[in-house]
Amino acid sequence: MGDSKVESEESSSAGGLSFRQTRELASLARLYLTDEEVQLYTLQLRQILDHVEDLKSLSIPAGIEGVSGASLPLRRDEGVDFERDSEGRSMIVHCAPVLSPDGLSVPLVMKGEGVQE
Amino acid sequence: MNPPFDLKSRFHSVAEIHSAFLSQKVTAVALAQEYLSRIDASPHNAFITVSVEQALSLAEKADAAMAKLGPESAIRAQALLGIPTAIKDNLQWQGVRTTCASRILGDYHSPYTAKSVQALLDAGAVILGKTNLDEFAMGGSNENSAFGPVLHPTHLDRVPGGSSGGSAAAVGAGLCVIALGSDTGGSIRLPASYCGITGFKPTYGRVSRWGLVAFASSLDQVGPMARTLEDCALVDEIVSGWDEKDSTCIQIERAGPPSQPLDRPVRVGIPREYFQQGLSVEVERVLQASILRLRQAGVEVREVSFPASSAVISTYYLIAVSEASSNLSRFDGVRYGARPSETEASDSLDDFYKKVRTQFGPEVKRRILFGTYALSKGYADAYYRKACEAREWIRQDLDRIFEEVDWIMGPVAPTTAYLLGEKTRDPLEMYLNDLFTIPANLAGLPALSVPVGVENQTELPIGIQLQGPRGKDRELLSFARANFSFPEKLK
Repeated sequence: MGDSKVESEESSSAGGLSFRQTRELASLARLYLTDEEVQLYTLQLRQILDHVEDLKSLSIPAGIEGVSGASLPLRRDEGVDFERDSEGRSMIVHCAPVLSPDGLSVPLVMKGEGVQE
Repeated sequence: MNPPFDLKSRFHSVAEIHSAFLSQKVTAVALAQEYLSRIDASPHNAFITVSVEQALSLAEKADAAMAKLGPESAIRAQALLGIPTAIKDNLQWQGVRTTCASRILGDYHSPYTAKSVQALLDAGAVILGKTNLDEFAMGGSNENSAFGPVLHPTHLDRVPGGSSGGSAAAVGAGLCVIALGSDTGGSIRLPASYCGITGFKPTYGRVSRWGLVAFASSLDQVGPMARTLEDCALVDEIVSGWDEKDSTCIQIERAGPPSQPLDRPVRVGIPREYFQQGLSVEVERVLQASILRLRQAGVEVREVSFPASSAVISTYYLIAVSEASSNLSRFDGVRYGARPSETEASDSLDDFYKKVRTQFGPEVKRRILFGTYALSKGYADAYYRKACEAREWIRQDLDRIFEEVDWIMGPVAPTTAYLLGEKTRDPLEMYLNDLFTIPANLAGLPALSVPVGVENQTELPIGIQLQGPRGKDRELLSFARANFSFPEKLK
């Protein structure tokens, strides 16, 4: 399926997520999508987004504030000192393929003049 | 004289195996070899990596410990000594491949061992290998794996449930005795129900997530899967506990104090909303039979109201995909992730990243896109922040219910295991299947799935779910053990 067909279908879509928006989302998320995938995911995400629209009309009782899951009431880590040089941290850093005084080195991503590992 | 020991017979529990060790009917090595042969001959595709060398080495150590100390003392010192065990392939085990059932991890070998896996090893478990799952634990059928779908242990044309479908199928098919899974929205309990075994999701933070590859960090929890509640309780006791390496770990007693007898009947609540959510006739029949059984045992079963249940699916999926899109951003070919050969021709860093991330499967891509949308400028208030409010409402609503009753009981899933491919074209329908298991993750509650019956026509297993207040894990397991025995039809 070529771009032209996708664009023509996009122009006929009324409301909801557009094919263009899906491409933008894919770009933000660093994902390549084929035209077929753009079409498929747009339709599926529209369906899912239609479902989650019910949240907007929820009558949540007054006084409830949003929390992240990490603030569950049984946590006891306040005041715990997570040492920067703990055994676990050292072990993970040691797993890096190449250590340098300035940090960790990874294999070359781009080849070209002036590019160093 | 003891009758000849039949190694081909299925062991159902840790106690049965230890009994065989005590009577010296079998060695740990012979047992490991038998289970490795079963895995090799199995059609279920339950394992991604079978660690033959490591398993036999662990079994040799178990035999050596029993030879040195005597079986009784050795088993007393190591509660899982010689037990054939499996771990989900999103848990790290040093030197062994970790794939998360994704192509993107390539030939990644874990540089360290997860806290929960180390606890099993310290207890003498013989880990046979790492089990298949939905890619990065995203899915409820185990059809989203780069290594192919897992098949149901007894009905090979059906799904085992997911995402810990490999662990569930392995226990159900007798390819191991105990297994670890992870549960973000029901990924232990759902496959346990479908496969006719027991699965337990502990209170959030009770088991360290150190070494568990993150899907949705505020929801993920490691937990045990086994045929019996006794073995789930045993493994839970071994893997739970404070860990400084997981900043969300909580400090509560592992085994907990002995339960004090109540001077009133135990109260179990059944949310009336659960009966309005498309339950199949057979699941409802089995649930009603469980209610009757509890009443006959003197338990007070009453209807409760859970109005926030209307927000469960939307809240869960917005939070889970938002966290997933963030967590999976690290798989870019630089920090993590294999580099396919096409990346050599990249003309920009952005191009490179995209070529690496093409290795994600369809369900992971869909969730990353959804999460990116939910967190993007202009939509975060309408979606993610609203979902965080709804999450707190759900949590408070469940806390209120636990002021009225001791435990909440309900279905695990609306139906029994469905046919392979039946729901793959409709992601939303698949998501709706998680309705009953999600609340425990959003509120951080302990919850378990225990098999209680079978569907009349198909004989597919049906489990029921029990949930409890945060931190009441041991009491919940004790209540279940006291009131539910393994169904005859599944033995």
